[in-house]
Amino acid sequence: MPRRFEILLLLPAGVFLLAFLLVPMAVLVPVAGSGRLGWSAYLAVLTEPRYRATMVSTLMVAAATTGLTLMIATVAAQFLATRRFVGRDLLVAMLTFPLAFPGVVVGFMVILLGGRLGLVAQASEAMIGERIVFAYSLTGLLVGYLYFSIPRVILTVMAAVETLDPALVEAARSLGAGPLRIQRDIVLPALAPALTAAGALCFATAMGAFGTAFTLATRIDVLPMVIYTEFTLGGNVAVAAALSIALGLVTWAALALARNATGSVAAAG
Amino acid sequence: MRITTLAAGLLTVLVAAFLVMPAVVSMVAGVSVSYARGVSECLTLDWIVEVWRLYADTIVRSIAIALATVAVTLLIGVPAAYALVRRGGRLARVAEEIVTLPLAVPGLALALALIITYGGVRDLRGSSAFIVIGHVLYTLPFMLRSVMAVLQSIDWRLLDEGAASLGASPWRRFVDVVLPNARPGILAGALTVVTLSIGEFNLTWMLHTPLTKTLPVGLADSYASMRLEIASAYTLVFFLMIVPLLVAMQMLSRIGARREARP
Amino acid sequence: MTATQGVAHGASLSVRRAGKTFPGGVVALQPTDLDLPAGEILVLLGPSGCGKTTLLRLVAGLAAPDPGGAVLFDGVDVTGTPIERRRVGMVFQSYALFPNMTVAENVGYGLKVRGEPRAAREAEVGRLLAMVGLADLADRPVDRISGGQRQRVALARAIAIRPKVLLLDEPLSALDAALRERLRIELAGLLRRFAITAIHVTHDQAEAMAIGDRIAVMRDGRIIQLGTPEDIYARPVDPFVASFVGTMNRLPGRLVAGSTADEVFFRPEAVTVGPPGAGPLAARVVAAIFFGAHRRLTLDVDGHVVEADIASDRPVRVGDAVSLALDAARLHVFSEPSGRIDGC
Repeated sequence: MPRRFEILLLLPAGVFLLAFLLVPMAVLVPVAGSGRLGWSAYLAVLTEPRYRATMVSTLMVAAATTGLTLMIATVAAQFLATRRFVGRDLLVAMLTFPLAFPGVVVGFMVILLGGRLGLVAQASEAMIGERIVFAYSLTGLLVGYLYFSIPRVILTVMAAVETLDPALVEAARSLGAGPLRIQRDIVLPALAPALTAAGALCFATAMGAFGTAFTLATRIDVLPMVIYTEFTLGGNVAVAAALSIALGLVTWAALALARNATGSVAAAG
Repeated sequence: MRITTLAAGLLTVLVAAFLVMPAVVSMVAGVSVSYARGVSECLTLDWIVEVWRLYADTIVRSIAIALATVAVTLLIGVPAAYALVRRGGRLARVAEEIVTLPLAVPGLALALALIITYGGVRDLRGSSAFIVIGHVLYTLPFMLRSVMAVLQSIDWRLLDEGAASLGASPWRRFVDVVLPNARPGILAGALTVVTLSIGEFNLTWMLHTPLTKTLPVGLADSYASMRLEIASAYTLVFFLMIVPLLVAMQMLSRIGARREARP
Repeated sequence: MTATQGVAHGASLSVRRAGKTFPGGVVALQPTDLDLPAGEILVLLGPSGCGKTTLLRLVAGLAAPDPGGAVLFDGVDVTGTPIERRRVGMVFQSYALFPNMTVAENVGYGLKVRGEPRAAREAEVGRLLAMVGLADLADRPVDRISGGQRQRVALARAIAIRPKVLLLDEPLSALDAALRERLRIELAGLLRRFAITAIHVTHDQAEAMAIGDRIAVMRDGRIIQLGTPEDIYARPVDPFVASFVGTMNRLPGRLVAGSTADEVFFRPEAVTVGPPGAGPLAARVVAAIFFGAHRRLTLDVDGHVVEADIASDRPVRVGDAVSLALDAARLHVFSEPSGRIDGC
């Protein structure tokens, strides 16, 4: 009786996910093998220089985003979590306010910052007489991903810092350790699970994000952009499907690795 | 103050400025007569009116899609969350893994899979329902986690057994006892779903048709083809829609934290 | 026999007019003076919120005193010296053992930070672990040892840097009662062996009695009595100290006609319990608790509660009528209003 009750509760979600998640993903697999390249489309990511280069640059942007975000968030989260000062709440609000911005809006923010009419261009023209424009390149994309990731990661790391016993740092100080040494020996090991989880999510998101690149420029070669152009402009459904599967496997693996390393479900972004 | 603390504070403030400045520029540009001539010129609401003329349909559609999405996630997500918490064990973990898959798989890939599978069904492909399906896939994990977290924290078993001892059937217990007590989690989940749905782009860009544009699709369109002031005004409209939702979520989580702090 | 035994270690400590006002105006500690000769163990005793931890943190360098206050080690002003360079050993309530290090790594951390060569470090860690009886657990992660063992690791870690002053912030309060009682004696023994200048913060008067050479009883941000455990017990300066340290009875009455105080205070041992009529006060036994060698009686004297001890072989039962005699030499009166007796 209770079992039937549970099955009934689960049924609507089960039917929905079967129809719109599991079946479509299963359909994607043979489609990827149905094109000009046949089943070797799966290897195209590795064998075709263009796709390989795209994969490498996507991985590099995602890795750079993750590294920089973690560094910035670790510093800022510790500054904010352990102190009470005037304006702290405002600062936290400023840092978390872009949390719900979609990729397209983030792209627009990057254009306002580093575009032809952007803040940096105006400031640099006033100061050095030259307009610095970085929005429409991989640099712009990196800035956009930082814009997107920092609020999420700061929140996760702040929560982790708040659970840290302040006496740990005080003990290390009493033993003579300086601030950098305390970071290396005490704080970072304690934050490692949270940083791993947040970093994996950040990496996966940066790998698969599409809106920011789409807004900045179509010639930025990252995997989601290539999938999009192969599908819509090239009509190359098979390659798009194969690349999608490759992309999905990378992001899924990143999250699964992090979850194994930390023993808990990665925090939802 | 020590030099390291000073450096950390400086970095924090700089990062906050980096995040907020472009948003402020966009808001100001949206109500300025001309961005190039600067803010000193008088302010205007003309661009907002223009946005409404051009994109009103996307704004209305986005709200409708968000409401439909939240309705579906509530209908299928809340019972599923309860079932997974009740059941526990390995099966529940596998089920949770499947539900949270859309978080791990990029939206673009999901959308591609949906189009390849159901793109041939004309009536579905051309309707906003197709977008709602995508949004439900993407937001369902958030609803589930929110509801499951609150169920785990309120000791649902005690409530359920208490009601059972009074002779209530499992369904009545679910409706009369479990649902009311899970309300904070359901509400938080619903707010998250609405916020995410209104801002969703990765899936929507692939799933939409010229007749089913949503707000973020319209934004992308305006960024590519409209003058900066209109793009900014449109973005401002988006901020105005999303900020109250964020504030409500913040308040809700603060209430929740206070409730948990009580012994 | 090790070098640390028997010889007084560490610095003499002086605190001069050191107070602490927190942002918002809350005065956690009134300007306070304190002097410890090298090697003395001082216990700061008081209820929570009385300022004892604040005073400890000022000495440690984890907080700075209000302007005008100073902390001196061996006569040298260290007020501006940050804790990293103050050479104080700290033992925290939570122990604050580094969870990513083993027992030995925890104990050796301060030496490693100081760049001590590995061999010398390992020898010193081995010596300290042997001293606190944990030689076998050197390579255990710190989350795989018991609460009592953790406390000893924390102590060895603090001692390893040969601190000028050892500071212990309620180091036993995280333990259960039985363990606490055993470790209190063990800790007192270890501190005497290290013979180091130490300040030990606690709210447990039995712990204070067992550990301190001297005890400073604190309340409302100031030290209200400073003296040896015997002093504090036998000659409390006010009702608060009297009732915070040991059991204190009080009855209305005057010791001498004309004195201002209208209550007298006395310890259970100042009471002689006899058969009805033998003593001047009539009482009834409300409760009798067996403590082995003695029995603690709770007595009703005209509606007032008095506690007294009797030998446990005396046949006294609950409900019995008895009489009490008080030892006049051991009665206390305080001129301060006694209404404040109930706490901080």
